[in-house]
Amino acid sequence: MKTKTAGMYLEAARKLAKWHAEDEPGTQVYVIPDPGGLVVNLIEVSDAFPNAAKPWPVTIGPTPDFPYTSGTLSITPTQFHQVGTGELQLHLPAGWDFSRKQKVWPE
Amino acid sequence: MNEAEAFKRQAASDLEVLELLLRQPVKDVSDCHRLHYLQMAAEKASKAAVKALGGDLPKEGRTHDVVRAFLSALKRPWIGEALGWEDFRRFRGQLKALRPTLYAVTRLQPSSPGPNVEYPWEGPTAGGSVDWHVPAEYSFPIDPRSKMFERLVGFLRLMLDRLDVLAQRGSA
Repeated sequence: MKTKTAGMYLEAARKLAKWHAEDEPGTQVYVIPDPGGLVVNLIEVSDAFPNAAKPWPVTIGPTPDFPYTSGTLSITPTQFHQVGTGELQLHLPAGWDFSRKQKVWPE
Repeated sequence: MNEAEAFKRQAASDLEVLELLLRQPVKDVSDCHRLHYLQMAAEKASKAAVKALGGDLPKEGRTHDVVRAFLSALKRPWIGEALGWEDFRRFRGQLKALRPTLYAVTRLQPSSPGPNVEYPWEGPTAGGSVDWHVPAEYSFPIDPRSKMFERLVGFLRLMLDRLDVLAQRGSA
């Protein structure tokens, strides 16, 4: 089995972000890098999503075309801004530290 | 039986009841019941798919969020192929097209403010006053006879039918 590197991890995150957002104009996608390099957690930010009171990520396991577990959190630009300013606390599972986010879409 | 199979069977049963309701004359059954069964089927089918794909379900009280985010989570070419789409762009287009109806149905929860398909609520009337509303007598903005409603029901059915294929992702 091929060893996964940090570069491969980020490349995979960009690929998943592209799959998720390529057909969604205005959508921004961030990855929260997993120090263990096993889980690709994406924050998708778009006006197309409902303003859910308690957003929660959906995770799915690896598939033949994507060898990582992935988590997807769908939030609105307003919620994203409010998390940044501290106005909104999302109470997410471990591994969803917004301060470590990296933008992966648009490239 | 595993959790995915259990959610699949209950979702399939909800869909069967929905299909019975859809065959009834509009005057005999209120749309709130058709919408309620779609809502329940969508929630359980989403959970079945997430579990079949090796994912985790949220803790209690966050169940609606699975439905809202799961269409995005499905956007992988292999999942599209497993569900019968060879062209990933078309698969993504289908997910995007289903989203407004799915969001609209999930919004009609008693926990959300305003109209819902289960319990009476107090809210504004067309005349500008405030009054109690009854789901069975309310005109919801989603038409269960619409093409998009039919497509969403068809997609949920397809997902349940191919759940075993989704679950075999590791050995594909």
